[in-house]
Amino acid sequence: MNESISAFLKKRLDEYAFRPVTYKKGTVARSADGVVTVTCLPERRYGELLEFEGGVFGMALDLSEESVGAVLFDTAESVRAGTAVHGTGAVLEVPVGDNLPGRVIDPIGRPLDGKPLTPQEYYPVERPAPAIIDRRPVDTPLETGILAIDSMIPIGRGQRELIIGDRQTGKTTIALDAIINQKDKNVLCVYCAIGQKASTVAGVIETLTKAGAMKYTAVVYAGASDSPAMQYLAPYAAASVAEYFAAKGRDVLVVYDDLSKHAVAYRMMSLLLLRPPGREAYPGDIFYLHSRLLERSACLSKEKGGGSITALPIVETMAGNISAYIPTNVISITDGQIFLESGLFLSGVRPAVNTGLSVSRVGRAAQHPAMKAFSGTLRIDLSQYREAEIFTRFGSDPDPATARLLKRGSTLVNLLKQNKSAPYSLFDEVSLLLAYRENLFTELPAGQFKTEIPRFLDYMRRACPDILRQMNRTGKATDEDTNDLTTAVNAYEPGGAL
Amino acid sequence: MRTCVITAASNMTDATFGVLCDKARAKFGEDIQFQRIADDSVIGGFIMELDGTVYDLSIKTQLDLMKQRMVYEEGQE
Repeated sequence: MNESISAFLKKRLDEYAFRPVTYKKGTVARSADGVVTVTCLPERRYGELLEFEGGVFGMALDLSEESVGAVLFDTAESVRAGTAVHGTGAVLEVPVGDNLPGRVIDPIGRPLDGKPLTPQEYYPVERPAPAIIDRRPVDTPLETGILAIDSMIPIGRGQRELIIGDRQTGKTTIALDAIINQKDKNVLCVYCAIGQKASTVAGVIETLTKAGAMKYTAVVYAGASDSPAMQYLAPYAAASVAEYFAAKGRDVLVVYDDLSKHAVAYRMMSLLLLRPPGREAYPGDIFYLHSRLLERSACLSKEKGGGSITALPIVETMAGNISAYIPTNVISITDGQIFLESGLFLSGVRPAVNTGLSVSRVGRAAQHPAMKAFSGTLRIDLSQYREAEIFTRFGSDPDPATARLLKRGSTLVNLLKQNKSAPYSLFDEVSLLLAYRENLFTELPAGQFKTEIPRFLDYMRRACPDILRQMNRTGKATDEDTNDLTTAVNAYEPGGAL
Repeated sequence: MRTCVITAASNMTDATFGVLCDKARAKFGEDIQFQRIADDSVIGGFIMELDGTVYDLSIKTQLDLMKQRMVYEEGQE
Protein backbone atom coordinates (compact mmCIF):
# COMPACT_ATOMS: atom_id res chain seq x y z
CA MET A 1 0.00 0.00 0.00
CA ASN A 2 2.70 2.44 1.10
CA GLU A 3 4.81 1.46 -1.87
CA SER A 4 2.03 2.14 -4.30
CA ILE A 5 1.46 5.58 -2.78
CA SER A 6 5.14 6.47 -2.92
CA ALA A 7 5.35 5.12 -6.48
CA PHE A 8 2.38 7.26 -7.41
CA LEU A 9 3.91 10.36 -5.83
CA LYS A 10 7.26 9.67 -7.50
CA LYS A 11 5.59 9.36 -10.88
CA ARG A 12 3.83 12.64 -10.27
CA LEU A 13 7.10 14.33 -9.36
CA ASP A 14 8.94 12.81 -12.33
CA GLU A 15 6.38 14.40 -14.61
CA TYR A 16 6.89 17.72 -12.91
CA ALA A 17 9.09 20.19 -14.75
CA PHE A 18 10.38 23.43 -13.34
CA ARG A 19 8.84 26.31 -15.25
CA PRO A 20 8.85 30.01 -14.48
CA VAL A 21 5.46 31.52 -13.76
CA THR A 22 4.82 34.77 -15.60
CA TYR A 23 1.76 36.90 -15.20
CA LYS A 24 0.59 40.48 -15.63
CA LYS A 25 -0.05 42.45 -12.52
CA GLY A 26 -2.76 45.08 -12.38
CA THR A 27 -3.58 47.76 -9.85
CA VAL A 28 -6.89 48.65 -8.26
CA ALA A 29 -7.80 52.16 -9.41
CA ARG A 30 -11.14 52.43 -7.61
CA SER A 31 -12.93 50.38 -5.00
CA ALA A 32 -16.50 50.93 -3.83
CA ASP A 33 -18.99 48.60 -2.13
CA GLY A 34 -17.38 45.39 -3.31
CA VAL A 35 -16.91 46.59 -6.89
CA VAL A 36 -13.43 47.50 -8.10
CA THR A 37 -11.91 48.93 -11.26
CA VAL A 38 -8.54 47.45 -12.12
CA THR A 39 -6.09 49.04 -14.55
CA CYS A 40 -3.11 47.58 -16.41
CA LEU A 41 -4.55 44.06 -16.47
CA PRO A 42 -4.80 43.01 -20.12
CA GLU A 43 -6.03 39.76 -21.67
CA ARG A 44 -8.55 38.86 -19.04
CA ARG A 45 -11.45 36.55 -19.71
CA TYR A 46 -15.09 37.29 -18.90
CA GLY A 47 -15.88 35.76 -15.55
CA GLU A 48 -12.23 35.07 -14.75
CA LEU A 49 -11.22 34.67 -11.15
CA LEU A 50 -8.91 37.48 -9.99
CA GLU A 51 -6.65 37.27 -6.97
CA PHE A 52 -6.04 40.43 -5.00
CA GLU A 53 -3.12 41.08 -2.71
CA GLY A 54 -4.05 39.72 0.69
CA GLY A 55 -5.75 36.57 -0.59
CA VAL A 56 -9.06 38.19 -1.57
CA PHE A 57 -10.80 36.87 -4.70
CA GLY A 58 -13.00 38.59 -7.23
CA MET A 59 -14.50 38.03 -10.65
CA ALA A 60 -13.90 40.06 -13.83
CA LEU A 61 -17.22 41.22 -15.26
CA ASP A 62 -16.53 44.34 -17.33
CA LEU A 63 -13.73 44.13 -19.82
CA SER A 64 -12.41 47.12 -21.74
CA GLU A 65 -9.05 48.01 -23.24
CA GLU A 66 -8.11 50.35 -20.41
CA SER A 67 -9.61 48.68 -17.39
CA VAL A 68 -11.38 45.68 -15.90
CA GLY A 69 -14.46 45.99 -13.71
CA ALA A 70 -14.59 43.26 -11.09
CA VAL A 71 -16.64 42.28 -8.09
CA LEU A 72 -15.22 41.02 -4.79
CA PHE A 73 -16.42 37.88 -3.04
CA ASP A 74 -15.55 39.11 0.39
CA THR A 75 -16.26 42.42 1.98
CA ALA A 76 -12.55 43.05 2.27
CA GLU A 77 -11.18 46.27 3.66
CA SER A 78 -7.70 45.22 2.51
CA VAL A 79 -8.61 46.00 -1.11
CA ARG A 80 -8.14 49.69 -1.78
CA ALA A 81 -6.78 51.89 -4.55
CA GLY A 82 -3.27 50.71 -5.35
CA THR A 83 -3.75 47.08 -4.31
CA ALA A 84 -2.07 44.63 -6.71
CA VAL A 85 -4.22 42.15 -8.67
CA HIS A 86 -3.49 39.28 -10.98
CA GLY A 87 -5.64 36.98 -13.04
CA THR A 88 -5.68 33.28 -12.24
CA GLY A 89 -6.59 32.19 -15.77
CA ALA A 90 -9.48 30.12 -14.43
CA VAL A 91 -13.19 30.85 -14.57
CA LEU A 92 -15.09 30.45 -11.35
CA GLU A 93 -15.84 26.88 -10.36
CA VAL A 94 -17.85 25.25 -7.63
CA PRO A 95 -16.97 21.89 -6.06
CA VAL A 96 -19.63 19.25 -6.72
CA GLY A 97 -19.92 15.65 -5.66
CA ASP A 98 -21.96 12.91 -4.12
CA ASN A 99 -21.04 14.19 -0.67
CA LEU A 100 -23.03 17.42 -1.07
CA PRO A 101 -26.51 16.29 0.03
CA GLY A 102 -26.86 17.13 3.69
CA ARG A 103 -24.35 19.96 3.45
CA VAL A 104 -24.56 23.74 3.50
CA ILE A 105 -22.12 25.55 1.23
CA ASP A 106 -21.60 29.09 -0.03
CA PRO A 107 -21.60 29.87 -3.77
CA ILE A 108 -17.88 29.20 -4.15
CA GLY A 109 -18.12 25.89 -2.37
CA ARG A 110 -16.84 26.71 1.09
CA PRO A 111 -18.68 24.64 3.72
CA LEU A 112 -20.79 26.71 6.11
CA ASP A 113 -21.80 23.92 8.49
CA GLY A 114 -18.49 23.67 10.29
CA LYS A 115 -17.52 20.30 8.82
CA PRO A 116 -14.74 19.72 6.29
CA LEU A 117 -15.75 19.19 2.67
CA THR A 118 -13.56 17.24 0.28
CA PRO A 119 -14.20 18.35 -3.30
CA GLN A 120 -14.75 15.48 -5.69
CA GLU A 121 -15.10 17.41 -8.92
CA TYR A 122 -15.33 21.01 -10.04
CA TYR A 123 -18.03 22.44 -12.32
CA PRO A 124 -17.90 25.97 -13.75
CA VAL A 125 -20.52 28.18 -12.15
CA GLU A 126 -21.72 29.40 -15.54
CA ARG A 127 -22.52 26.53 -17.88
CA PRO A 128 -24.46 26.47 -21.12
CA ALA A 129 -28.01 25.12 -20.98
CA PRO A 130 -28.64 21.67 -22.54
CA ALA A 131 -29.20 21.84 -26.30
CA ILE A 132 -32.56 21.03 -27.90
CA ILE A 133 -31.33 17.65 -29.08
CA ASP A 134 -30.33 16.72 -25.53
CA ARG A 135 -33.81 17.26 -24.13
CA ARG A 136 -36.97 15.21 -24.02
CA PRO A 137 -40.52 16.23 -23.16
CA VAL A 138 -41.57 16.34 -19.52
CA ASP A 139 -43.39 13.07 -18.81
CA THR A 140 -42.93 12.19 -15.14
CA PRO A 141 -44.81 13.99 -12.39
CA LEU A 142 -43.03 15.65 -9.50
CA GLU A 143 -45.44 15.32 -6.62
CA THR A 144 -45.42 18.19 -4.17
CA GLY A 145 -47.78 16.40 -1.79
CA ILE A 146 -49.94 19.53 -1.80
CA LEU A 147 -53.44 18.65 -3.05
CA ALA A 148 -54.20 22.09 -4.52
CA ILE A 149 -51.03 21.96 -6.62
CA ASP A 150 -50.89 18.28 -7.58
CA SER A 151 -54.52 18.34 -8.72
CA MET A 152 -54.84 21.69 -10.48
CA ILE A 153 -51.31 22.97 -11.19
CA PRO A 154 -49.34 19.73 -11.61
CA ILE A 155 -45.58 19.95 -11.93
CA GLY A 156 -43.52 17.58 -14.05
CA ARG A 157 -39.88 16.57 -13.59
CA GLY A 158 -37.81 18.99 -15.67
CA GLN A 159 -40.38 21.78 -15.49
CA ARG A 160 -39.78 25.31 -14.23
CA GLU A 161 -42.68 26.43 -12.07
CA LEU A 162 -42.59 29.87 -10.51
CA ILE A 163 -43.91 30.41 -6.99
CA ILE A 164 -45.00 34.01 -6.77
CA GLY A 165 -46.73 36.08 -4.12
CA ASP A 166 -46.42 38.84 -1.55
CA ARG A 167 -44.31 38.51 1.56
CA GLN A 168 -45.71 36.17 4.20
CA THR A 169 -48.00 34.19 1.89
CA GLY A 170 -46.28 30.81 2.26
CA LYS A 171 -44.00 30.76 -0.81
CA THR A 172 -41.05 29.14 0.93
CA THR A 173 -43.41 26.76 2.74
CA ILE A 174 -44.68 25.37 -0.57
CA ALA A 175 -41.14 24.89 -1.82
CA LEU A 176 -40.09 23.20 1.41
CA ASP A 177 -43.15 20.94 1.39
CA ALA A 178 -42.22 19.93 -2.15
CA ILE A 179 -38.69 19.06 -0.92
CA ILE A 180 -40.04 17.16 2.10
CA ASN A 181 -42.36 15.17 -0.16
CA GLN A 182 -39.42 13.87 -2.21
CA LYS A 183 -38.47 11.50 0.59
CA ASP A 184 -38.04 7.96 -0.79
CA LYS A 185 -38.91 9.19 -4.28
CA ASN A 186 -35.34 9.09 -5.59
CA VAL A 187 -35.20 12.85 -6.15
CA LEU A 188 -32.28 14.93 -4.88
CA CYS A 189 -32.94 18.52 -3.85
CA VAL A 190 -30.94 21.75 -3.85
CA TYR A 191 -32.21 24.67 -1.83
CA CYS A 192 -30.61 27.96 -2.82
CA ALA A 193 -31.10 30.87 -0.41
CA ILE A 194 -30.31 34.27 -1.90
CA GLY A 195 -30.08 37.42 0.21
CA GLN A 196 -31.99 35.95 3.11
CA LYS A 197 -31.53 36.41 6.81
CA ALA A 198 -29.28 33.77 8.38
CA SER A 199 -31.97 33.11 11.00
CA THR A 200 -34.54 32.33 8.27
CA VAL A 201 -32.22 29.87 6.58
CA ALA A 202 -31.38 28.26 9.93
CA GLY A 203 -35.13 27.76 10.36
CA VAL A 204 -35.41 26.23 6.89
CA ILE A 205 -32.57 23.81 7.61
CA GLU A 206 -34.18 22.87 10.91
CA THR A 207 -37.51 22.18 9.18
CA LEU A 208 -35.77 20.01 6.59
CA THR A 209 -33.74 18.17 9.22
CA LYS A 210 -36.81 17.49 11.34
CA ALA A 211 -38.64 16.07 8.34
CA GLY A 212 -35.62 13.92 7.46
CA ALA A 213 -35.17 15.81 4.19
CA MET A 214 -31.63 17.11 4.74
CA LYS A 215 -30.28 13.67 3.82
CA TYR A 216 -31.06 14.31 0.17
CA THR A 217 -30.86 18.11 0.15
CA ALA A 218 -27.89 20.41 -0.44
CA VAL A 219 -28.19 24.03 0.64
CA VAL A 220 -26.38 26.82 -1.21
CA TYR A 221 -26.47 29.99 0.83
CA ALA A 222 -25.53 33.61 0.13
CA GLY A 223 -27.00 35.71 2.88
CA ALA A 224 -28.11 39.31 3.19
CA SER A 225 -24.74 40.27 4.64
CA ASP A 226 -22.71 38.59 1.90
CA SER A 227 -21.34 40.64 -0.97
CA PRO A 228 -23.66 41.27 -3.95
CA ALA A 229 -21.30 39.13 -6.04
CA MET A 230 -21.93 36.14 -3.81
CA GLN A 231 -25.69 36.67 -3.99
CA TYR A 232 -25.42 37.00 -7.76
CA LEU A 233 -23.50 33.73 -8.03
CA ALA A 234 -25.58 31.64 -5.64
CA PRO A 235 -28.30 30.39 -8.06
CA TYR A 236 -25.74 29.58 -10.77
CA ALA A 237 -23.69 27.59 -8.27
CA ALA A 238 -26.86 25.76 -7.17
CA ALA A 239 -27.64 25.00 -10.82
CA SER A 240 -24.13 23.55 -11.27
CA VAL A 241 -24.58 21.34 -8.22
CA ALA A 242 -27.90 20.13 -9.67
CA GLU A 243 -26.33 19.55 -13.10
CA TYR A 244 -23.74 17.27 -11.59
CA PHE A 245 -26.47 14.95 -10.32
CA ALA A 246 -28.62 15.30 -13.45
CA ALA A 247 -25.62 14.30 -15.57
CA LYS A 248 -25.55 11.06 -13.58
CA GLY A 249 -29.15 10.37 -14.51
CA ARG A 250 -30.69 11.57 -11.27
CA ASP A 251 -33.83 13.67 -10.92
CA VAL A 252 -33.12 16.90 -9.10
CA LEU A 253 -35.37 19.58 -7.63
CA VAL A 254 -33.86 23.07 -7.25
CA VAL A 255 -35.50 25.86 -5.29
CA TYR A 256 -34.23 29.41 -5.91
CA ASP A 257 -35.40 31.45 -2.93
CA ASP A 258 -35.74 34.11 -4.16
CA LEU A 259 -35.00 35.64 -7.56
CA SER A 260 -36.28 39.13 -6.74
CA LYS A 261 -33.47 39.50 -4.21
CA HIS A 262 -31.12 38.06 -6.82
CA ALA A 263 -32.22 40.74 -9.28
CA VAL A 264 -31.68 43.43 -6.65
CA ALA A 265 -28.16 42.17 -5.92
CA TYR A 266 -27.39 42.19 -9.65
CA ARG A 267 -28.83 45.70 -10.00
CA MET A 268 -26.54 46.91 -7.23
CA MET A 269 -23.53 45.33 -8.89
CA SER A 270 -24.44 46.73 -12.29
CA LEU A 271 -24.98 50.26 -11.03
CA LEU A 272 -21.65 50.20 -9.20
CA LEU A 273 -20.02 48.91 -12.39
CA LEU A 274 -21.49 52.03 -14.06
CA ARG A 275 -23.63 50.06 -16.49
CA PRO A 276 -26.55 52.10 -17.83
CA PRO A 277 -29.72 51.63 -15.76
CA GLY A 278 -33.00 50.73 -17.49
CA ARG A 279 -36.51 50.22 -16.16
CA GLU A 280 -36.65 50.38 -12.33
CA ALA A 281 -32.86 50.96 -12.55
CA TYR A 282 -32.29 47.31 -13.50
CA PRO A 283 -29.60 46.80 -16.15
CA GLY A 284 -30.44 45.85 -19.72
CA ASP A 285 -29.49 42.19 -19.30
CA ILE A 286 -31.75 41.47 -16.33
CA PHE A 287 -33.96 39.22 -18.46
CA TYR A 288 -30.97 37.22 -19.66
CA LEU A 289 -29.78 36.97 -16.05
CA HIS A 290 -32.79 34.80 -15.19
CA SER A 291 -33.45 33.18 -18.56
CA ARG A 292 -29.98 31.67 -18.77
CA LEU A 293 -30.33 30.38 -15.23
CA LEU A 294 -33.74 28.77 -15.72
CA GLU A 295 -32.88 27.36 -19.14
CA ARG A 296 -30.42 25.12 -17.36
CA SER A 297 -33.35 23.23 -15.86
CA ALA A 298 -34.36 20.55 -18.30
CA CYS A 299 -35.48 17.01 -18.80
CA LEU A 300 -32.47 15.27 -20.36
CA SER A 301 -32.70 12.69 -23.11
CA LYS A 302 -31.89 9.03 -22.54
CA GLU A 303 -28.55 9.54 -24.34
CA LYS A 304 -27.61 12.19 -21.79
CA GLY A 305 -28.43 9.93 -18.89
CA GLY A 306 -32.15 10.69 -18.63
CA GLY A 307 -31.83 12.92 -15.57
CA SER A 308 -33.86 16.04 -14.99
CA ILE A 309 -33.68 19.35 -13.17
CA THR A 310 -36.97 20.75 -11.93
CA ALA A 311 -36.77 24.39 -10.89
CA LEU A 312 -39.03 26.13 -8.42
CA PRO A 313 -37.93 29.76 -8.56
CA ILE A 314 -39.59 32.07 -6.05
CA VAL A 315 -40.40 35.72 -6.75
CA GLU A 316 -41.75 38.17 -4.22
CA THR A 317 -44.32 40.73 -5.38
CA MET A 318 -45.24 44.05 -3.84
CA ALA A 319 -48.95 44.43 -2.97
CA GLY A 320 -49.90 41.57 -5.29
CA ASN A 321 -48.56 43.37 -8.35
CA ILE A 322 -47.56 40.56 -10.69
CA SER A 323 -47.18 42.95 -13.61
CA ALA A 324 -44.04 44.53 -12.14
CA TYR A 325 -40.77 44.15 -14.04
CA ILE A 326 -39.11 41.09 -12.46
CA PRO A 327 -42.36 39.09 -11.96
CA THR A 328 -43.38 39.50 -15.62
CA ASN A 329 -39.89 38.56 -16.76
CA VAL A 330 -39.77 35.37 -14.73
CA ILE A 331 -43.41 34.48 -15.53
CA SER A 332 -42.57 34.61 -19.22
CA ILE A 333 -39.47 32.44 -18.76
CA THR A 334 -41.03 29.71 -16.64
CA ASP A 335 -43.51 26.98 -17.64
CA GLY A 336 -46.20 28.28 -15.32
CA GLN A 337 -46.71 29.91 -11.95
CA ILE A 338 -48.31 29.27 -8.60
CA PHE A 339 -49.76 32.57 -7.47
CA LEU A 340 -50.23 33.00 -3.74
CA GLU A 341 -52.59 35.69 -2.51
CA SER A 342 -52.31 37.40 0.84
CA GLY A 343 -56.12 37.86 1.01
CA LEU A 344 -56.64 34.12 0.81
CA PHE A 345 -53.81 33.49 3.25
CA LEU A 346 -55.29 35.83 5.83
CA SER A 347 -58.76 34.33 5.44
CA GLY A 348 -57.32 30.96 6.42
CA VAL A 349 -57.01 29.34 3.00
CA ARG A 350 -53.57 27.77 3.25
CA PRO A 351 -51.83 27.09 0.91
CA ALA A 352 -53.17 30.41 -0.39
CA VAL A 353 -53.11 29.38 -4.04
CA ASN A 354 -55.12 31.59 -6.37
CA THR A 355 -56.16 28.99 -8.92
CA GLY A 356 -57.42 31.56 -11.39
CA LEU A 357 -54.02 33.17 -11.87
CA SER A 358 -51.99 29.99 -11.42
CA VAL A 359 -51.16 27.79 -14.36
CA SER A 360 -48.91 24.89 -15.29
CA ARG A 361 -48.09 24.81 -18.98
CA VAL A 362 -46.54 21.36 -19.23
CA GLY A 363 -47.39 19.50 -16.04
CA ARG A 364 -50.76 18.13 -17.24
CA ALA A 365 -48.98 15.82 -19.63
CA ALA A 366 -47.00 14.38 -16.74
CA GLN A 367 -49.84 13.99 -14.25
CA HIS A 368 -50.52 10.54 -12.78
CA PRO A 369 -53.43 8.91 -14.67
CA ALA A 370 -55.30 8.37 -11.39
CA MET A 371 -55.01 12.04 -10.48
CA LYS A 372 -55.88 13.20 -13.98
CA ALA A 373 -59.13 11.23 -13.89
CA PHE A 374 -60.41 12.98 -10.77
CA SER A 375 -59.07 16.50 -11.04
CA GLY A 376 -60.60 17.46 -14.38
CA THR A 377 -63.29 19.93 -13.31
CA LEU A 378 -61.76 21.31 -10.12
CA ARG A 379 -60.54 24.57 -11.62
CA ILE A 380 -63.90 25.31 -13.25
CA ASP A 381 -65.74 24.41 -10.04
CA LEU A 382 -63.54 26.76 -8.04
CA SER A 383 -63.84 29.67 -10.44
CA GLN A 384 -67.62 29.25 -10.62
CA TYR A 385 -67.73 29.20 -6.84
CA ARG A 386 -65.63 32.36 -6.54
CA GLU A 387 -67.87 34.13 -9.04
CA ALA A 388 -71.10 33.06 -7.32
CA GLU A 389 -69.61 33.92 -3.95
CA ILE A 390 -69.09 37.54 -4.97
CA PHE A 391 -72.77 37.93 -5.98
CA THR A 392 -74.14 36.33 -2.83
CA ARG A 393 -72.07 38.66 -0.65
CA PHE A 394 -74.81 41.26 -1.06
CA GLY A 395 -77.16 39.12 0.99
CA SER A 396 -79.52 37.93 -1.75
CA ASP A 397 -81.12 34.51 -1.38
CA PRO A 398 -79.53 32.20 -3.95
CA ASP A 399 -81.60 29.83 -6.08
CA PRO A 400 -81.18 26.08 -5.32
CA ALA A 401 -78.64 25.53 -8.12
CA THR A 402 -76.45 28.39 -6.90
CA ALA A 403 -76.84 27.27 -3.30
CA ARG A 404 -75.58 23.83 -4.29
CA LEU A 405 -72.69 25.36 -6.20
CA LEU A 406 -71.73 27.45 -3.18
CA LYS A 407 -71.90 24.49 -0.85
CA ARG A 408 -69.78 22.31 -3.09
CA GLY A 409 -67.35 25.19 -3.66
CA SER A 410 -66.82 25.88 0.02
CA THR A 411 -66.36 22.13 0.62
CA LEU A 412 -63.66 22.07 -2.04
CA VAL A 413 -61.91 25.10 -0.53
CA ASN A 414 -61.91 23.37 2.85
CA LEU A 415 -60.65 20.11 1.36
CA LEU A 416 -57.76 21.94 -0.30
CA LYS A 417 -56.60 23.46 2.98
CA GLN A 418 -53.54 21.65 4.19
CA ASN A 419 -51.11 21.93 7.08
CA LYS A 420 -47.49 22.70 6.33
CA SER A 421 -44.89 19.91 6.34
CA ALA A 422 -47.73 17.38 5.97
CA PRO A 423 -47.65 16.20 2.36
CA TYR A 424 -50.32 13.82 1.06
CA SER A 425 -49.53 10.65 -0.84
CA LEU A 426 -51.17 10.10 -4.23
CA PHE A 427 -53.67 7.74 -2.62
CA ASP A 428 -54.63 10.39 -0.04
CA GLU A 429 -55.10 12.99 -2.74
CA VAL A 430 -57.24 10.72 -4.91
CA SER A 431 -59.35 9.74 -1.89
CA LEU A 432 -60.03 13.38 -1.05
CA LEU A 433 -60.95 14.21 -4.64
CA LEU A 434 -63.25 11.22 -4.73
CA ALA A 435 -64.87 12.35 -1.49
CA TYR A 436 -65.46 15.72 -3.13
CA ARG A 437 -66.94 14.10 -6.23
CA GLU A 438 -69.26 11.98 -4.12
CA ASN A 439 -70.34 15.05 -2.08
CA LEU A 440 -69.23 13.31 1.09
CA PHE A 441 -68.39 16.41 3.11
CA THR A 442 -70.95 18.83 1.69
CA GLU A 443 -72.95 18.98 4.92
CA LEU A 444 -69.93 19.12 7.21
CA PRO A 445 -69.45 22.42 9.10
CA ALA A 446 -66.29 24.27 8.00
CA GLY A 447 -64.74 24.03 11.45
CA GLN A 448 -64.71 20.22 11.45
CA PHE A 449 -62.61 19.61 8.35
CA LYS A 450 -59.38 19.86 10.30
CA THR A 451 -60.21 16.84 12.43
CA GLU A 452 -62.35 15.05 9.85
CA ILE A 453 -59.82 14.82 7.01
CA PRO A 454 -57.12 12.88 8.92
CA ARG A 455 -59.83 10.55 10.23
CA PHE A 456 -61.20 10.01 6.74
CA LEU A 457 -57.76 9.34 5.26
CA ASP A 458 -56.97 6.92 8.04
CA TYR A 459 -60.22 5.11 7.29
CA MET A 460 -59.50 4.96 3.56
CA ARG A 461 -56.00 3.59 4.12
CA ARG A 462 -57.44 0.83 6.28
CA ALA A 463 -60.35 0.15 3.94
CA CYS A 464 -58.31 -0.22 0.72
CA PRO A 465 -54.74 -1.24 1.63
CA ASP A 466 -54.13 -3.00 -1.69
CA ILE A 467 -55.16 -0.04 -3.80
CA LEU A 468 -53.09 2.22 -1.53
CA ARG A 469 -49.95 0.21 -2.19
CA GLN A 470 -50.54 -0.25 -5.88
CA MET A 471 -51.53 3.36 -6.57
CA ASN A 472 -48.60 4.89 -4.71
CA ARG A 473 -46.31 2.59 -6.65
CA THR A 474 -47.71 2.82 -10.18
CA GLY A 475 -49.76 6.04 -10.10
CA LYS A 476 -52.61 4.26 -11.86
CA ALA A 477 -56.13 3.30 -10.83
CA THR A 478 -58.19 0.77 -12.79
CA ASP A 479 -61.96 1.10 -13.16
CA GLU A 480 -62.31 -1.65 -10.58
CA ASP A 481 -60.12 0.27 -8.14
CA THR A 482 -62.21 3.37 -8.70
CA ASN A 483 -65.38 1.42 -7.96
CA ASP A 484 -63.89 -0.05 -4.79
CA LEU A 485 -62.71 3.38 -3.66
CA THR A 486 -66.10 4.93 -4.41
CA THR A 487 -67.84 2.22 -2.38
CA ALA A 488 -65.45 2.81 0.50
CA VAL A 489 -65.98 6.58 0.30
CA ASN A 490 -69.75 6.20 0.32
CA ALA A 491 -69.60 3.84 3.30
CA TYR A 492 -67.88 6.53 5.37
CA GLU A 493 -69.92 8.61 7.75
CA PRO A 494 -68.50 12.10 8.12
CA GLY A 495 -68.59 13.39 11.67
CA GLY A 496 -69.86 10.04 12.97
CA ALA A 497 -68.06 7.53 15.10
CA LEU A 498 -66.67 4.63 13.11
CA MET B 1 14.15 55.09 -15.88
CA ARG B 2 12.11 51.97 -15.19
CA THR B 3 12.01 50.28 -11.81
CA CYS B 4 12.49 46.56 -11.39
CA VAL B 5 11.62 45.03 -8.01
CA ILE B 6 13.37 41.79 -7.14
CA THR B 7 12.11 39.81 -4.15
CA ALA B 8 14.43 37.11 -2.84
CA ALA B 9 15.33 35.36 0.39
CA SER B 10 17.60 37.37 2.66
CA ASN B 11 20.55 35.04 2.14
CA MET B 12 20.93 35.80 -1.58
CA THR B 13 24.47 37.09 -2.01
CA ASP B 14 25.27 40.48 -3.52
CA ALA B 15 27.22 38.71 -6.26
CA THR B 16 24.18 36.64 -7.28
CA PHE B 17 22.00 39.74 -7.16
CA GLY B 18 24.54 41.52 -9.40
CA VAL B 19 24.46 38.73 -11.96
CA LEU B 20 20.68 38.84 -11.91
CA CYS B 21 20.70 42.60 -12.56
CA ASP B 22 23.13 42.22 -15.48
CA LYS B 23 20.99 39.51 -17.06
CA ALA B 24 17.84 41.60 -16.65
CA ARG B 25 19.51 44.67 -18.22
CA ALA B 26 20.71 42.56 -21.14
CA LYS B 27 17.22 41.21 -21.75
CA PHE B 28 15.00 44.20 -21.04
CA GLY B 29 17.20 47.26 -21.66
CA GLU B 30 19.76 49.42 -19.88
CA ASP B 31 17.37 52.00 -18.40
CA ILE B 32 16.43 49.92 -15.37
CA GLN B 33 17.02 50.66 -11.73
CA PHE B 34 16.77 47.81 -9.29
CA GLN B 35 15.07 47.58 -5.95
CA ARG B 36 15.72 44.63 -3.71
CA ILE B 37 13.25 43.20 -1.20
CA ALA B 38 14.28 40.51 1.23
CA ASP B 39 11.50 38.04 1.98
CA ASP B 40 12.31 34.64 3.40
CA SER B 41 8.87 33.25 2.52
CA VAL B 42 10.02 32.82 -1.10
CA ILE B 43 12.50 30.19 0.28
CA GLY B 44 14.78 30.27 -2.75
CA GLY B 45 14.93 31.70 -6.25
CA PHE B 46 13.42 35.14 -6.87
CA ILE B 47 10.37 37.06 -8.03
CA MET B 48 11.01 39.88 -10.47
CA GLU B 49 8.48 42.59 -11.28
CA LEU B 50 8.98 44.90 -14.26
CA ASP B 51 6.49 47.00 -16.25
CA GLY B 52 3.50 45.34 -14.60
CA THR B 53 4.67 41.82 -15.41
CA VAL B 54 5.72 39.40 -12.70
CA TYR B 55 8.36 36.74 -13.44
CA ASP B 56 8.07 34.25 -10.65
CA LEU B 57 10.96 31.79 -10.31
CA SER B 58 10.66 31.29 -6.58
CA ILE B 59 10.85 27.93 -4.82
CA LYS B 60 7.69 28.82 -2.91
CA THR B 61 5.59 29.03 -6.09
CA GLN B 62 7.15 25.86 -7.49
CA LEU B 63 6.30 24.01 -4.28
CA ASP B 64 2.75 25.36 -4.50
CA LEU B 65 2.46 24.07 -8.07
CA MET B 66 3.88 20.71 -7.04
CA LYS B 67 1.35 20.49 -4.21
CA GLN B 68 -1.47 21.40 -6.55
CA ARG B 69 -0.37 18.69 -8.93
CA MET B 70 -0.15 16.02 -6.27
CA VAL B 71 -3.29 16.90 -4.34
CA TYR B 72 -5.87 18.40 -6.62
CA GLU B 73 -5.34 16.94 -10.07
CA GLU B 74 -5.35 13.31 -9.07
CA GLY B 75 -8.89 12.55 -10.22
CA GLN B 76 -8.44 14.03 -13.65
CA GLU B 77 -6.19 11.47 -15.26
